[in-house]
Amino acid sequence: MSATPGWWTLARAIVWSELRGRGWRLFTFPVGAGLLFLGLLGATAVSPDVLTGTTREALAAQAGQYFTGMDSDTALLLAMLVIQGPYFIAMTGAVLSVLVTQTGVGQRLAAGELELLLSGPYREREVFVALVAGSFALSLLMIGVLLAMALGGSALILAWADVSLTTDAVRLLGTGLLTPIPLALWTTFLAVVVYLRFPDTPVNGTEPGNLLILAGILPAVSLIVLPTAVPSVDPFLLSVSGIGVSLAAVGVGWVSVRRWLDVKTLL
Amino acid sequence: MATIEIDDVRLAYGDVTALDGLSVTFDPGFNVILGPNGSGKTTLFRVAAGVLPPDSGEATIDGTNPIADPSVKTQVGYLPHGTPLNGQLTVRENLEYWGRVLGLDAKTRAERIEETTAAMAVGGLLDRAATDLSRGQRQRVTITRLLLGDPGVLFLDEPTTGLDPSAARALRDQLDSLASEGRTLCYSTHNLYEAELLADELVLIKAGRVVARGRKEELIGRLNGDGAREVRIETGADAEVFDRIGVEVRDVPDGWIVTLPEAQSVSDLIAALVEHGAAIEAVHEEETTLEDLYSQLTEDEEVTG
Repeated sequence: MSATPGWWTLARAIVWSELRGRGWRLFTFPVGAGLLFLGLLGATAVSPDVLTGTTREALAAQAGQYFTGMDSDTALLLAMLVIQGPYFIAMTGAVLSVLVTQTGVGQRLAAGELELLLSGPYREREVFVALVAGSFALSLLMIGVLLAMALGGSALILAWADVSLTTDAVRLLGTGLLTPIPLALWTTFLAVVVYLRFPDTPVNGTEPGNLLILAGILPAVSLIVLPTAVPSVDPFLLSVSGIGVSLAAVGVGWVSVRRWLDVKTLL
Repeated sequence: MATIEIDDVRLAYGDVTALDGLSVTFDPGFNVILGPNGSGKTTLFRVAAGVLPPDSGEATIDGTNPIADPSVKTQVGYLPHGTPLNGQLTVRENLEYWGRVLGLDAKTRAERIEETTAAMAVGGLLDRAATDLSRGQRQRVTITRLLLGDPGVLFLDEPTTGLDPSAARALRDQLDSLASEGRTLCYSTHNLYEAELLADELVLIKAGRVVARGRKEELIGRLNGDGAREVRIETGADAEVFDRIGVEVRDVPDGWIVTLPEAQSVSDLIAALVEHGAAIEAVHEEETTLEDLYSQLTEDEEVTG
């Protein structure tokens, strides 16, 4: 037996079996989302008129605020990449985390694997942490693929448009790109709790589990909606708020779970 | 190899009491647990395997409480009702996964997979997808999975349910050989034939309590109490004749079942019946079966503990 913590051993086993079992199929959604993002960015570069009026106005306002001293098309492109981009990735990452949890941990729980895992050399809390950690690791992997596609493709588009990032843009982008991580942790945490409590929750539907997950994704959705609805909002502050709210939600959730996590009600 | 002790365990799901001060010891060998649906068999296994903490009382594996020290659960293999195998993985990958869950290193995993698949005769299935297995094969694979950690105790909750007779027999034979290696097998079933065939020790549970425990012969002996036995008499005689002779009877088609005290022989009974003018067509000594025992113990009050 190894001397590593139980949850770590178990989380690694879960990640291994998910990667082994689903392989490349795991990556179809992040690749698709990455292509969608690049499509939007490309459309902004080639013809900003394809964007909706509200989005275009929000981008123009943000461009005027943060990317002055350059032509308007370039500023619009940068606003799209630096301000909207990280939030698009954060929201997609949150949805990805729910999907990864539903199709992985959720299906395991529905099949009765919880009972089997609890018969292993682990405490119930270790099993819970392992389920969250395993699913979160997979979510990060998906977000990594999405990021690699979005940023790699963006770099190509920026090079093609002959645009280079300013120091301020790098700072905004860096902070923004941290947001998907705590958001993914929060949505993964919530999804594991939901699938533990309601193992038969389907991906779609209006069951209590779905409604809870929907409520959990709202902070991520608000990150997309807010900068469009209120273009003057400070993206740096928005990112920091998103990170803070997500981590606080995980903290509150963890305290609650420690109180109600009762194997009797879950088996 | 390992002994399980359950001491005065109580557990309730809301208002429903599943275990009501249950105490029992499982020693190495084949322990068969019988009881009606809802009697607490599955909950007993969950508590004994350290899956579920009891509300009060204690379960120990070789003296260690698995809730307080989960590392002792490496000595336990638990097969819940149903066979959860990951359908996206092959048999080898399913075993590999469970080896990782148990924290076995790569070398040990490979060795144990080879040994256990040979022992359970599933070596030929290793590269098959778990979804392609028959029910019997799936059950053998799930038990192989339990054996990866070389546990001294196996809890098997109705493992042959849904298997065809030949698959069930093959599985029973393999389990029997595991028990003969010194393991403690705790096996719940509704199949009395299986129970009779396999059990070194029988445990009957009713309403969350042990109502009888022991070898089949001992239990039947205790059920018969004073050594009384039953004799079926095919006769046209009415109950009044038996009243006059002073024996207890109950009505069956074509005659009566007589409960004969140990001191009275069948020939004494026949002689007394003839003396009272009864015409006797046939006499059969009835053997008390496990089914009789099960019916009586699960329907009546507690007989023994």
